[in-house]
Amino acid sequence: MERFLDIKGHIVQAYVVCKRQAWLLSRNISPVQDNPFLEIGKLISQQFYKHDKKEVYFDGVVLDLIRKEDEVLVVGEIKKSSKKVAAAILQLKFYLYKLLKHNIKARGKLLIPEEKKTYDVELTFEDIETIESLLSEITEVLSSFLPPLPQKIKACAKCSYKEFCWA
Amino acid sequence: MKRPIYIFSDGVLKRKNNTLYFESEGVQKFIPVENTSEIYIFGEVELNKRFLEFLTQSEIILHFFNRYGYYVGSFYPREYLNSGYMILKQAEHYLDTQKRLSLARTFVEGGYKNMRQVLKYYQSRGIDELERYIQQMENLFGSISNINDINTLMAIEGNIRQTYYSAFDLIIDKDDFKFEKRSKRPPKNALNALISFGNSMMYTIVLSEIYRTHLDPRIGYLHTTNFRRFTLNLDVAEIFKPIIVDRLIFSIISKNMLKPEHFEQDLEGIVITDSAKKLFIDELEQRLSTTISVKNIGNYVSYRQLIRIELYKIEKHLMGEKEYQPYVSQW
Ligand code: SF4
Repeated sequence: MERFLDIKGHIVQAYVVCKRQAWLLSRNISPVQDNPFLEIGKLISQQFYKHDKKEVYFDGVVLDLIRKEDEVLVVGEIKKSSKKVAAAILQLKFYLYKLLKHNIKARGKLLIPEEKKTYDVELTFEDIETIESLLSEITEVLSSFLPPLPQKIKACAKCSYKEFCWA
Repeated sequence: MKRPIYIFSDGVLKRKNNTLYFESEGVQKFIPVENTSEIYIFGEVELNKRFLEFLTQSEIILHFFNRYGYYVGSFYPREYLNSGYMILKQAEHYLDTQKRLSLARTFVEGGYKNMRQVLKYYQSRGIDELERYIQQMENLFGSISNINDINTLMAIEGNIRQTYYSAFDLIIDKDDFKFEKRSKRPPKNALNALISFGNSMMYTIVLSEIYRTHLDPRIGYLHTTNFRRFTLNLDVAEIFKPIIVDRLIFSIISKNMLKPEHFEQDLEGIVITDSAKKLFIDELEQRLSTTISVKNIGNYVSYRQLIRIELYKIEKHLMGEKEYQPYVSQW
């Protein structure tokens, strides 16, 4: 179980979209920086939610913001659109899972400021099981000597690895 | 779109608030940092540590040239894309003789094929005598598969290039731009001066693209590494010199854009004037942003992107994912 703790949040999120991307990230082959979509994400999280504690590092992941509500820790994740809600919720649950492993109970909130939407996210028992089986799957893919071959999927169009994958 | 900045005047470069600032003989100029990809310095320019720190933070490389147009060196800011994995792979392919040789051969092959392509193009336009040179290059290239040491490989590469250059007089056929023979430091005539300048520009362009990947420019395969100089950019530039620099030179000369006044005789050799450098760079920038269609990538890519893609192909080779095939121009 302990070996899962090395897997970072952004890798889990990437994995759900594309296994190859997760593998590349795990080798620190990070995307080229001139992709405008990355920048937009950064700007949004800087502009909104000025009063909360932002970008807190915890166990290898970056939490967009945290606040206390009724003595319970609330972890927020900010996204620029609701397109990838499922992946974002999973990422958030993954944070909650990590916190739980450190004996910190927390609730999550997914925030999409541009669309004025919030989603409450809670970690259930099934989630824990799902996450653990996902983590063992990820561990297996990441330990492979070669990255999974690129496959043309929808995400490729806006992916910053595009030129790399198809070179 | 970020673009390179070229500085020809003498002056002072500074950081002012969050922009780059250039001051020269009463002229003051703000250069927006977010639009700048790299800076070329041809004049006498003063700068300080604060300025260099700002460049590092903004991920901007600085290339220096002396007044002869020779490349002096680059300020290569701390790598911002760092992958220990990739550096290990790069070193592994350097230390293993067979792996190193096979990459080095591939660079020679890419350079050769593009040189041949250039000559073939002019042959198809009616210069029949080029056949002899193409044949000779082909013979030389044929021997590289048996070669087992880098120095011999380098020597053959040099011979191929000599043969190729000696065909230039057939292509250009203008008295002001006779090639005669290759002369480097200092170049003895205008054409040699242009080639040297163009090649140096090519080295810095590839270096700038390497900066935007995970590769370490100090580990090259064909050009010997001594870990103090950049060499990977020299390797990769072999492939692009014929199709970018040489073609550009042919086109500038055939359009009569350059005159003898663009060159000055110095005590030691021929010097390119600033106006000729500017003209060359303008044309080079245009050429680099020209788009061509490339298979696999699907849509059109610029020559500059093509260089980046070449580097990605090398990364994939190092990872063991896909064997590297150099880019060969189709026309
Ligand atoms: S380009 Fe496509 S295959 Fe490559 S990492 Fe991105 S999503 Fe995955």
